[in-house]
Amino acid sequence: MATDKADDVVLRELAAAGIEFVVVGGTAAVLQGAPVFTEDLDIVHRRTPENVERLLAWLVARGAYHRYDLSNRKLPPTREQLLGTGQLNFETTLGKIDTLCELGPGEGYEQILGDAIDIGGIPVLGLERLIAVKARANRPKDRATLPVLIATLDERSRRSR
Amino acid sequence: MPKPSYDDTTLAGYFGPVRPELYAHPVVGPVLRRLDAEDPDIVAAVADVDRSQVRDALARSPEERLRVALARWNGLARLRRGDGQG
Repeated sequence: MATDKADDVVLRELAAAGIEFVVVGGTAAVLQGAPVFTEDLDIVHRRTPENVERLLAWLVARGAYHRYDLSNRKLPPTREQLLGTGQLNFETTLGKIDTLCELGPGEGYEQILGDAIDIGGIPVLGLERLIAVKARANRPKDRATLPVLIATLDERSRRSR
Repeated sequence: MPKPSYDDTTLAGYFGPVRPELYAHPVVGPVLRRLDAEDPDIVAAVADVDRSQVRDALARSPEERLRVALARWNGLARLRRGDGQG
């Protein structure tokens, strides 16, 4: 059964396990000062065999299973899935975590790392790139957060002037 | 939602449109121009964002931001589950 959300614990555990990833999505926005709600933690992980092995071990240790399964079989993640190109949605003992093989087509860990900023030793997708991604996603859910993200960037740049 | 009950000068300190300077940003500028053309309501809605919330969040450390967001989320989740009373 999932406990209360504890993204900070998850992030610390992932980093301590030597897993290479970039935080994206709502948690990335929150970390950069956007006053938004987010229900899950989204990461883009590096798809090297070694890193996927580390991520898989952490997910299994945290009881991860695919939360989108109409038969509710609680299917665990597999190595092949984590090496693929899809976006995987898991429930774990520390809450929901979505591991994205790619942010979009051709946008894996290596391609987005350059737009990440370091927050406490954890790479987080920069607000600028996050805004571009949300705008491109063209989903109402993503677009709804855009005004707050843009206002946060605007406010941040106003303060740095 | 009705407008907050403060004079325009006060409100201007907390609500406002995107500053023109942001349109010159190499990544976000093109996004704003595209949104202006395709979905202008999104850019217009920036003026409705309560900047006091943004400023409060920016004043915190990233870890504190996460903690505050999680505390709010967990509080709402408990309320939704019905175990947040007393």
